[in-house]
Amino acid sequence: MIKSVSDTNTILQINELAFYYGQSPTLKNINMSITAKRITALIGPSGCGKTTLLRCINRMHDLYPGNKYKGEIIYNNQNLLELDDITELRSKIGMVFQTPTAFPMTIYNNITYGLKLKGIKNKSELEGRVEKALKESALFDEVKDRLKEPASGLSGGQQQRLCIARALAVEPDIILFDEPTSSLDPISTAKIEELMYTIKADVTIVIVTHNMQQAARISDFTAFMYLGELIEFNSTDIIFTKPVEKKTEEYITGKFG
Amino acid sequence: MNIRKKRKIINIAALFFSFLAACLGLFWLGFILFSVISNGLSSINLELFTAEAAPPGFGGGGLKHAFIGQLIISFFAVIIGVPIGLLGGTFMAEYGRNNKFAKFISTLSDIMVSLPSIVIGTFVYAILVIPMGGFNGISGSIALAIIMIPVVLRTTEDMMKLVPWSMREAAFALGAPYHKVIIQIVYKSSATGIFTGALLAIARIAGETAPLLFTSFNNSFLTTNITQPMASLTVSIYQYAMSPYTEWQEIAWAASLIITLSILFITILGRVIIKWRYKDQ
Repeated sequence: MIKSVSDTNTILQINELAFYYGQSPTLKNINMSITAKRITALIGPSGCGKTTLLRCINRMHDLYPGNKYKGEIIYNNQNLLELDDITELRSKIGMVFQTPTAFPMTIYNNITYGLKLKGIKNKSELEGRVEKALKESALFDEVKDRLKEPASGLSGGQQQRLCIARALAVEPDIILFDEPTSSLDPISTAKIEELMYTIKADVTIVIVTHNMQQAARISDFTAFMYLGELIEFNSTDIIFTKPVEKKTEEYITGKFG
Repeated sequence: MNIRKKRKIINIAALFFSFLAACLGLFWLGFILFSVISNGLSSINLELFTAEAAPPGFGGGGLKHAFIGQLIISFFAVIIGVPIGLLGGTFMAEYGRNNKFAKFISTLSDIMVSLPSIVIGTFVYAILVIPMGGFNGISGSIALAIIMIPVVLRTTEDMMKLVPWSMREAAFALGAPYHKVIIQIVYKSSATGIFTGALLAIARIAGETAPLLFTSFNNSFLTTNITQPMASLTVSIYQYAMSPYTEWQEIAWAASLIITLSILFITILGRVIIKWRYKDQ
């Protein structure tokens, strides 16, 4: 069943990935390929390891001691788990978090933050990139007159779109979304889903979601995880209409989780 | 008597005694403020700030040397104490957050905050004043800095820990190295809190006398040489208030009023900033 996925344009190839916090593995034998410029959703009950898997992809676990990766995640013909310079990797693989994480600075500076880290100083280029990122994240019309105001003045949904704009501004290959709408109201959620749908023309999206309807609405591929293992991975249509595994079907139909 | 009535009576009694305790505390604070103001206000004049010490019996005289000495000693205490406290707090909140040594230092700082200041005075006397061959201003600054460090360190640590981890992760996720995350994101988020902590630490040392008695000691003349004994307001108050001369005692009252009002001002400023900054959280 993985074959049907991997014959398309693969950007990330995960092979026999295992992840350990301390002794026991929280992820076991994960094999999947992420297709470029598509949305891949990771679903499963709480504690199944979907966020853990997401955070392997940009090596976020490196911040905390006592973790260990095994296996490989191939990106640009390299196993990214063996890279030494992860700051470069992170500018290529962005992340949007569960709660909005607007930095304590102006809207404009929030977006230029990642660009300045990459060494872009030219003012007109920065301005152009800010406008482009804000337009892509459907925030431009709402904030164009208040770019120099603190980002904390925005609503939660606007802040989350600002975080997406900030991630987009550095022109990454992949953006990882960790339950990006779980703290938002339905209208803001709809805006963000719509936005993900448009930006997938340029970037690959991997999204962790608790909300099965959300996965069904927006994703092209869905991975169902349970107890640290990848149970089933296929196109979203198949996962939600005729899953192969019994566990998947039980989860989709709400029998557990 | 039924249980409800009993509870009500206990409740009223508890309320009464805690109210009484609060009144007792506030009464002395009010009493101190009242006597300092009533005694000090009449002795405040321009000469207090412009003239140096005069011998008793001749009238006049001021505390210019003590004001300047106090400013110099406090200035160097801040220059030494705030950066060390800030960096120590940064280490404990960031790099050492999973580190047993850092937790130990943090606990030690809590103990040091309540260490009697005279102990710090005698400590600096032993390690600095004696080797340097006599009382000097900079030893006073160092003694005060030692008092400041744990206060600044703990507030910095607490304020930086208040910044949510997801904020740091968001910066890491954009490819920021740790030192930039700390300076550009964490310091920026906690700046007001850290600043207020430093301000309260300054208020804490502004009224210290004991550590200065053993270090900067006193001087009847104006000096800006930090290797010489240096006058300070608190030590001058101690000296003038203990003297048998009325005009010296009056100057001590005036100086007490000024130092009390300055500390009050710094403390209130600190509280106002905290309230203004954290009112939404």
